[in-house]
Parts: sequence; structure tokens; C-alpha cells
Amino acid sequence: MLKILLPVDGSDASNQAIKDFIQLLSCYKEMPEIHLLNVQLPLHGNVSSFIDSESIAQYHQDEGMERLTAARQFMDQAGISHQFHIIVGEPADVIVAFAKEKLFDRIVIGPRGVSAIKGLLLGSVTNKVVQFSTIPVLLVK
Amino acid sequence: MGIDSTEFWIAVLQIIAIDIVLGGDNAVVIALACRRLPKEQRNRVIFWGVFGAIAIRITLIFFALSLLAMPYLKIVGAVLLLWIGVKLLQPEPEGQGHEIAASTSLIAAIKTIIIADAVMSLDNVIAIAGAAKDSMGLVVFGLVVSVPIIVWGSKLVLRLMERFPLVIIVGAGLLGWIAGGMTVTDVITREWVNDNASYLRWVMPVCMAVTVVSIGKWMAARARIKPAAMIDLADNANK
Repeated sequence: MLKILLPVDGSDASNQAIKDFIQLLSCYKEMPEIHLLNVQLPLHGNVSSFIDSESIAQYHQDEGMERLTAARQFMDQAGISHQFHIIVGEPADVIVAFAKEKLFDRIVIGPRGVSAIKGLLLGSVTNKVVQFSTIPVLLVK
Repeated sequence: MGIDSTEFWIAVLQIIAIDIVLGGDNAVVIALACRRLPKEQRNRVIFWGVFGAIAIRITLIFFALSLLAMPYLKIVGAVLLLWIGVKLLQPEPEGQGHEIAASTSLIAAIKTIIIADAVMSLDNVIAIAGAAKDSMGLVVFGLVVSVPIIVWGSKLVLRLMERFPLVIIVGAGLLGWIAGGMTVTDVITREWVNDNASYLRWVMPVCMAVTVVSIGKWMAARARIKPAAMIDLADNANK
């Protein structure tokens, strides 16, 4: 069975990409195994010297669940079974490493909702994933 | 330093940036310390936490200005700022990290917040005082700007950093820049620099900014999350 990783950040663009991908799913002969992944940026600076790591993990988990809500709803509505994951780290690095480690066959990702100029300056997560992934990436536009 | 000078407006921008980065950090700590409290208690503790953060800043700033006029203290302040800048760039440690008791009780949450407020207010005040270059007006401005950031800032600052990861690097560099400025305006260095090496007035800030960003980035890269150490926080919820 094809194993597909869908990184999700909860933005409108990301949710749209999920919706579009659900449309595409009927093209697959056999239903692929779908995993949603939300990557939480680590908190910087002083926070970790005052707050215990368990509370921080809890915070990331709550935030991650919130970001995943819409995508999970779309999946449920379409009757697609899926798993989901929340990991803390640099988004692009984590997506690429996770896909490799868990032996995914494909990463499906939408372009983030930034304008061309901002995207150029900041280097979007999508660009980095496309550049560094050793696994085929499907860009849903 | 008058309202019409570029120097003044640069200082204003610096102060706003510092307040966002350091005040936002403070706000995040307050919010996280209260997460496990019951809702009614939580709002009250957040209120007093924010109140304390602001009160400590106001108290400290008056000491800071007179203290920084004493010999050597600007240099000490500069070293502190370098440290704060480097620390700003460090992501939260992985798993084992710090062993701090989770604040599930009201008292523990208050204790966490008081300590955090005191430490982080000191950071913020030294940075504001350094950027304000002895102008009382700018110091007060810095305080006023930091208030809404601490009160409403935690979500805002987190979103901002997520959208523009550069913010944090710029913030750290800025702290280095201000530290560099402080080393050449200390009572004991100022005259010598003015007479013999006025170029140091911009060389030092640039060097210190570069130093902070490179040391901070280097340390963060060493602590970078290894793929093997990835922890799936949704593991339990999945089944």
C-alpha cells in the first residue's frame, strides 16, 4: 500500500491543499495509507528555563491538535481513515527526516500562502522540502 | 538627541524590536506557567503576573539609568546583553532538558512567574537603557511599548516568529549591536574612544551583532534535533 505523508500547518492554503488532494484520491487504484503531520516550531530563548518540559510538550500538543483540526475534519467527512503526528522542530527538516525514517512513499504538500516576493526572501517550507527530500514530492497547487 | 534626528528614530525602532522579542518571551512564560490551573484562577494569575512584570520593569529602569552612569557598569551590561542575545537563539532543549517541577498548583505557578518576571525584566531593562542612550524620554517610551506586548503579546509574538523566523535572529543581532554600543560609551571608555578611535563607535556594534548571531547559531546547530530523537506528541491520541 502506498504510504503518503501530508504536512499540515492549519493555514488556509494548507487546508485547501488537503481538500484538493482528497479530490485526487479517487485516482488511486488502492486507497493509500494517509498520515497527517503538524510540525511545531520550538519555543526560543528563556521559556525553557522557567517552564518544565512536560508543560511545553503539552502546549505543543494542544497547538498541534488545533492546527490539525480542519484537515482531520475534511478527512473524516470524506470517510478517509488517517493517522496524525505532531513533532517539534524546524518544519522542513522534520518533514524530510520523518518521511525518510517512517519509509513514506510520497510527500504531498501545498505551497504556503505567501506572495512570490516573501517566498523568495524567506524560503518557504515547501521549497526546502522539495529541495531536500529524497522521496518524491507531490506539490498540490 | 532630538525628535528630528535619525539617531532618535533608530533608537525608537530598536526599542520596539527589543520589547517585542524580550517582552514577548516574558508573556509566553506567564501564559505557559498558568496552563494547568483552573480557568478562573488562571486569569487572575495571568493578570498579576503581567502586573508584576510591568511593575518590576518600572522599578528597575530607574536604578538602571543611574547605575549605567557609573564606570564599568555599561561594560558589565554589555556582557549580559551578549549572553541574553545568544540565549535567545537557543531552541528548547530536547526531552531530558531542564528538570523543573510542573506548576500544577497555584503557588508553584506564582513562584515561576515571579522569578521569570524578575529575570526577564532585568534583561529587558538593560537592553532598553542601552538603546535609549541616556534619554529619559526614550526609556519611558520603551516601558510604555512593552506593556501591551506583555499583556496581549504571547500569541502575537509566537505567530510572528512562526511566520518570520528571521525576527528572532534580527532581535539577537540587535542585542549584540546595543551591547557593542555600550562598550564604547561607558564612562571609562567614552573619552578615549572619542579622542583616539571614533571608528570603534560603529565597529564595536557591528562586531558584537555578528558575534552574537554566529555564536548563537552555532550553539543552536549543535543542539539541533536529530532525526532519531523525533518525538511524536500525538502518539497517544492516535490509537
